[in-house]
Amino acid sequence: MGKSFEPKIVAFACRWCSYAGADMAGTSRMQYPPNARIIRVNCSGRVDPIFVLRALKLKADGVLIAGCHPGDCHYLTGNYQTARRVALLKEYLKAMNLEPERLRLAYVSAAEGAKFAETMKSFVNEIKTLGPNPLSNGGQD
Amino acid sequence: MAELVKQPKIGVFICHCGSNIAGVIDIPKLLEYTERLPHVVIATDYRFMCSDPGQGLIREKIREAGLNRVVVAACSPTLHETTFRRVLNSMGVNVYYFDMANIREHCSWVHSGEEDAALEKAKDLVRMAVARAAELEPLEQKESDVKPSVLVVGAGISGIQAALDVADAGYKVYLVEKEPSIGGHMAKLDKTFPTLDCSSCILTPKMSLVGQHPNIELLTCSEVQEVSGYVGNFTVKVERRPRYVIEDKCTACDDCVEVCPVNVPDEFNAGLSWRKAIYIPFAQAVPNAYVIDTEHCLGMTPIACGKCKEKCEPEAIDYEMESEILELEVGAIIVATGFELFDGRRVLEYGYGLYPDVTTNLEMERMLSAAGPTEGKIVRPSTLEKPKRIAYVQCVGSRSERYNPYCSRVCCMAALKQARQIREKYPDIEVTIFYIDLRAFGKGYEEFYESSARDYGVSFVRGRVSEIRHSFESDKLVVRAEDTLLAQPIEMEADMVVLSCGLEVFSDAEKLTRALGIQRSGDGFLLEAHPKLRPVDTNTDGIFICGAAQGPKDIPDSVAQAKGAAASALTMLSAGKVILQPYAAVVDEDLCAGCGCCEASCPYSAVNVVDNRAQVTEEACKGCGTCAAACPNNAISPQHFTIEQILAQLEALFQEAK
Amino acid sequence: MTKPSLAVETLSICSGCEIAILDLHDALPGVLDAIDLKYIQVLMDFREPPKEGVTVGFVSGAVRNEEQVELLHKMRERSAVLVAFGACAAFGGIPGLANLHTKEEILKEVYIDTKSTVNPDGVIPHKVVPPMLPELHPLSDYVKVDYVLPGCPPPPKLIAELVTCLLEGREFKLEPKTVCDECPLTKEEKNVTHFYRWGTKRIDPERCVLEQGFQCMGPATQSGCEARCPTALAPCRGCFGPTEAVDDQAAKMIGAIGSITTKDFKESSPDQTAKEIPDIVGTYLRFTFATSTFKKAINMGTAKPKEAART
Repeated sequence: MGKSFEPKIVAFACRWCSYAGADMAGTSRMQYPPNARIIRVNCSGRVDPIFVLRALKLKADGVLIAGCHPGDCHYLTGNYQTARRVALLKEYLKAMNLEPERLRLAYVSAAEGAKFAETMKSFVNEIKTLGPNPLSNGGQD
Repeated sequence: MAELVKQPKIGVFICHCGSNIAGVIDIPKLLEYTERLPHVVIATDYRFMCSDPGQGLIREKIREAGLNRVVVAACSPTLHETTFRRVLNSMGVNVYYFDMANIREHCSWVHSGEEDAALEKAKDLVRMAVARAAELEPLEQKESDVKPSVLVVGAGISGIQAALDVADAGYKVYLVEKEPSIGGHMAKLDKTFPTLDCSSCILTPKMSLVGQHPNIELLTCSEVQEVSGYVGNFTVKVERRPRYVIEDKCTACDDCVEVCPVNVPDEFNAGLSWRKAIYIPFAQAVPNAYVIDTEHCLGMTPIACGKCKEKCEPEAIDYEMESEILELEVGAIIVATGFELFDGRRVLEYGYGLYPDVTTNLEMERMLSAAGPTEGKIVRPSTLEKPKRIAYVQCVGSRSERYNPYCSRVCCMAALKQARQIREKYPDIEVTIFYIDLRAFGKGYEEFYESSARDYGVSFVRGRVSEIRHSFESDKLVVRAEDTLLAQPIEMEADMVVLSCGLEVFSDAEKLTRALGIQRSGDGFLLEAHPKLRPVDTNTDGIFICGAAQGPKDIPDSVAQAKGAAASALTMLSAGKVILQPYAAVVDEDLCAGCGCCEASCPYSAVNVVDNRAQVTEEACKGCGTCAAACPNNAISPQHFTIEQILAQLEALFQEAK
Repeated sequence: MTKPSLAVETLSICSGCEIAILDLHDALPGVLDAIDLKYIQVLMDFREPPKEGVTVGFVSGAVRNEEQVELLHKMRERSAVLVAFGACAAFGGIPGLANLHTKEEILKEVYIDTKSTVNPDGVIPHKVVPPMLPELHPLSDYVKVDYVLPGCPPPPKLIAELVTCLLEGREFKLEPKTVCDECPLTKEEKNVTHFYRWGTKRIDPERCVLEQGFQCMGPATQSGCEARCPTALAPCRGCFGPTEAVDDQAAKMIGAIGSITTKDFKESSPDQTAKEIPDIVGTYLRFTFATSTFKKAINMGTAKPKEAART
């Protein structure tokens, strides 16, 4: 490849906490790696497991779901439901021989710009350690 | 025909935001890339898209190119989504045919050193927004009527003030209080800082106004059980426990109290005196009627006791009374459930509950009150003699890793006030306050502190008290601390110690917040929608909060917040209508099999299975979309965040750039 | 006028689907009167589909070896209408779970590692038997399928209905609703505290089995079977696959499970729930793994089906 591996990451961020947290990171000019693209949803609970699977099938190197902290969900329980889905999805990924670390759930509040930037940094680093999505080097048709 | 109209014609407007975006992202390249995206009929840039000329440019292009969808690549939608939607609206384009690519907060500002990567990311974000825009559907905003009534939960000073303001504006108020009388903590206070007004003198008139107000329906001994509905249209179930005394018949003659054989520590006097099992909470109680404390009553039958009923001439006592569930219809809810005092017993090393002479700030308040258990005299509880030295221990349960990390905000001033009252009444009693920091932040507070120290000789030691023990030799308490100004440990003997117990969230907060669907912050108090700009709103529309339920607060702040909450509720009520975002979930009847997973997922009970099909109560649905992720057959979807729209973004992201 | 003809080809399968045809019972003579049954291996001694003139071709079973690819193409060429008959033909079925392993792993397990095998030389058969494909495929990976009749096996009632439709020239289509639509059990409230293996807990015979903590696939499974398993108090296993609205049954079940588990949330509860569902793929993709998002476990090699799908 020549160039070093730059992971492509999809981030689903809830409108009330994490998307606003990402905005906060921007307003505070915090620098973090440019690997992720955010898809805004109203609630992390909106993240249909099919979105995660489809992203990985489309050769995303990592998927981040960012929602409100437990107890702070704007929609009360959406993040709890997501937390359970993520735990089950990780089992699914393991069965597919995909590293479960490629899917991460993070709790970032609207005030936590720094945490958003940190999360991005650590996730990108983790994915760099894992290497590219195995599907992108001919793992499957 | 109609299909032609639906054919997406997307215009993309790229904002430079001065140099905020253009300083990092190569706009000409982004523009050139954007022009080639599917459905994009025009792509253009401008220095400030949100400015009047920028908005004018969008209008002009919509007209010229017949755009039916618009994407603005600029800042966060949180900032300007509404601005640009208005532009679409003015051009007769449905406002939901709009999307934003956030290339400032999420791109130029956070990747300023990586221009190439930032450009690539901006291209992706624009491509994703365009793909989503092509899938957008027109939606209609809905209006809903607002019921002209308000529920106020909690009748301390905050609840009372909020209730009076709403009622005075001409709307019906249901004021729910779990205790037999309104008044809350303020009714127990002797004087209030920094002006030393008599607490009951300023509170009692308000309480009596509440009791007599034609627009206020007072429900004491009552608690909220269940809340359903949505902004403007809440249905609240309230349980009203029996008093066993018919308020209208009771003449408050006290005959029943005289014959009642049971003595119970009086909670109004912080347990420093006794009351009977049938009692009036305090002299100025509203409603001014007796209540039977069933926990301590010997038994409401003539066989067990029944003396009070026998004695009551107006036949106001009814042992057969039962709990009732009231169903209230209200447009807005104000939560003013106040605080609870930190239980000093939890700090074992201070010996509260073990040594009788260790008391709390509330007990001292009752002692200072002329209507209190000692008629205003200060006495050592163990000997009932006048103490020679009193030590105050600040921050009990507050500013502590072990208990509550927050500052309770009122204890410094309360301790100063009590100390000053004691010194005024008994110049021979020494008062020493052990503090970490003295916080006298309010209007007139610093002056109050200065004069308490200067004119009344209250002394201070800076240091958190580590231990309080009892000395058998002197029969006094020994307060041990480090004087951090002298950097040495000290021990001081005192006849009495007053613990400045902090404020904690009201008991049963979890039950109430769950019923209401509102949240709490990390400290346990109720969470406001925005800490600065929406301090009395919650994230649930139509539910407001005020007073110490939201966080420790003194009386002026509580009253100010209560007035704010009342004004917010009144704004809604007087408008008469609320606008609902059309993000509600819709059910595809062809796919729905009525399994009920959506019903289980809905945080608002907005989805219900009726006749084996899911039904959405549109007004209750907030559009979170959790039901869509829960639906095993993709039969339900929130509008504006449909599976197609999100998958379009996702697929677009992974399309190789052409 | 000649009677329309029916040919049934059997690929990688247990032959239960063919038996289901016999389960038509009283309706069978009527069907046999109306059609000319040309080929069905479980009843007739033919080894290849008829050379021509098949009106309706049923293919049961999935595609696992090269011979089956050939047979499938023959059936497609010779049939006017091709029906993927049963879960294996439609989605790969239970044999599709073999896609969790490589071909090499499977052969080694079967011919060498199993306890009951005596194979001192470690010989893996490779002569006479048709070469095995790297992974298992549903029919639609190779040919155009006109109708899908899912089920393990398809219910006789639906077989009769499909045949009748074809004879009368009507469209056959299952309404895209899930099993819950037909299920007679009572749904009360979905608030599941724990999940149980079937048979380890007494079942309330009136109430939705999913609500009782059993992994019922009904909510994510195409209806048409008249909820035959839940009616018998056995959780639905999903043999009809997802409806046309869904492409991954497991994704949808995970979505649903996240929402129906107990509302008393603790940090540990997601892991607890995951622990109680030990085999996600075997539970939620029991019949449809070969048509799910990934179709097989990743990094099994790069081989593609030998021939591209013909339409």
